[in-house]
Amino acid sequence: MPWITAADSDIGAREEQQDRYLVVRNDRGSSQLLVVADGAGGHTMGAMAAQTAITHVRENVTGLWLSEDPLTFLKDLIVECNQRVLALSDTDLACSTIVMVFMRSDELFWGHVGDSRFYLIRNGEVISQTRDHSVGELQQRQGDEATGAIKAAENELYMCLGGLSDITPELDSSAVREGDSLLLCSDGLWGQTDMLRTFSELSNTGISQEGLAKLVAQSISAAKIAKPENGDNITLIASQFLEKPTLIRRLLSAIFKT
Amino acid sequence: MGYIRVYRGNDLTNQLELGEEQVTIGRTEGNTLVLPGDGVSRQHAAIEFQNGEYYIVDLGSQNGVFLNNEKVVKSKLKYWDEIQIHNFVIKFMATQGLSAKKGAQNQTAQESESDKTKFFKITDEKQLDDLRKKTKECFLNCSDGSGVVKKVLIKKPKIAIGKSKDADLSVSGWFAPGICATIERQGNNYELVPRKRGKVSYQNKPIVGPTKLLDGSVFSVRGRQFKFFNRLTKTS
Repeated sequence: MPWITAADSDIGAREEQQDRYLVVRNDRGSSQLLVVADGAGGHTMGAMAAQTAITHVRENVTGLWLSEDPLTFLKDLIVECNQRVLALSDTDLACSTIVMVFMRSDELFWGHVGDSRFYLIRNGEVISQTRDHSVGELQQRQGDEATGAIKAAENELYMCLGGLSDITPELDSSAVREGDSLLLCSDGLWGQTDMLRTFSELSNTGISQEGLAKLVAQSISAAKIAKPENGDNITLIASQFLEKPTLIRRLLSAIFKT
Repeated sequence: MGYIRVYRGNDLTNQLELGEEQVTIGRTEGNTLVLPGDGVSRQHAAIEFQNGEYYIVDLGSQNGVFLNNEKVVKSKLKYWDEIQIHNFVIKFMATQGLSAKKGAQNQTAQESESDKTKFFKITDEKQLDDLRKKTKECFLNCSDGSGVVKKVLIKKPKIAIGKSKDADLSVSGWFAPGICATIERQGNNYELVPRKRGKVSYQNKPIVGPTKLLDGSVFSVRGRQFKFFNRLTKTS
């Protein structure tokens, strides 16, 4: 697997952890799927919504490994998750965001609904990212915005799992190059911390597995410290594409194998 | 009156209210709008006010000025137009934008605005739907030599052009390699990546390294002609 990956999650200053995440590889270790879901709703319903989506993805992921059309597969998977989450809510609303990225050699395929984000980073700059399905983001695009009033509506999602019976997940894909990094995170991270710092730290190529895990932990604690009162749940998965192992690494692995 | 909003990626990094005086855009200090980056010329472009209209003018820049994906030397601006300079997008709008999210520095104009209360229309459902359905469509027009032009949608992050059976688009020739070139989605852009002995030309010039494809550009691989399109279209 040319990717190294680290993931972590923190409850923040909330009473309940409603974020869920999943990192899953195929048996050969040649492909990987990363998922973040951020639930919302009262009385454990948010956590249940996020968990339901993650469970559905985990149970149905095998088809993805061999899929010839990963984007359609991801779309169907998200639409199915929506049906599962819709089935949960009776009187209490249960909903969740979902963002997932499928990595196969040097190709990425991603899809999302809601405001959990995917970022693709090259040389410290974001070269692609998901657009939040929030009222604020939409109005920003429309140029139909006001300054104060929107702030309140900014977090309102117009598309998520469990909200509408008919959803249109947004999908995209890209090839990657040596040293490229990606991030998946819930709004607890991007809404509470300076993402530019995380982007630049992630751009240190040749980072080790331990180094990446440390970076993830640091970013999460920075977001937590930034909002000590009522801070949101925080989840982050980071990955870096390192195709060519260094000569030393190859030598070492050859020595240890024999 | 109008505003320009400067985006880098999805982040709103700066915005300016336009008056009647010229706004110069360039890499060096002294320009009204400074855009850092090697791809921006020292004096790259200007926005000029003439007879009640705004115009974007290329000041002889190295890499050009693009208006809604088309290269321009001088062109009238209308609201919602997008000016592309290097990796910046400058939108010409009737109103100010929201303050950029975390991390980006903003103009003071924004702060003075924030204590005013404004009303805003809740977006109606139809507009919402229209926006959701507007997506970029990328495709190639490929000629086969006999004048027949075929449209090929680009749906994968990588498309291979070559003699190999696995290539998505075929070229012929005795010495043509299995893969002559690939078209790769790299972030938000598409790049033409030539391989050894691929004989790849972009806009009639031979290329050896990855080259960003612009809407409407032409390229050839081993003599076969292609035209690349990357534009906003409404999907059903």
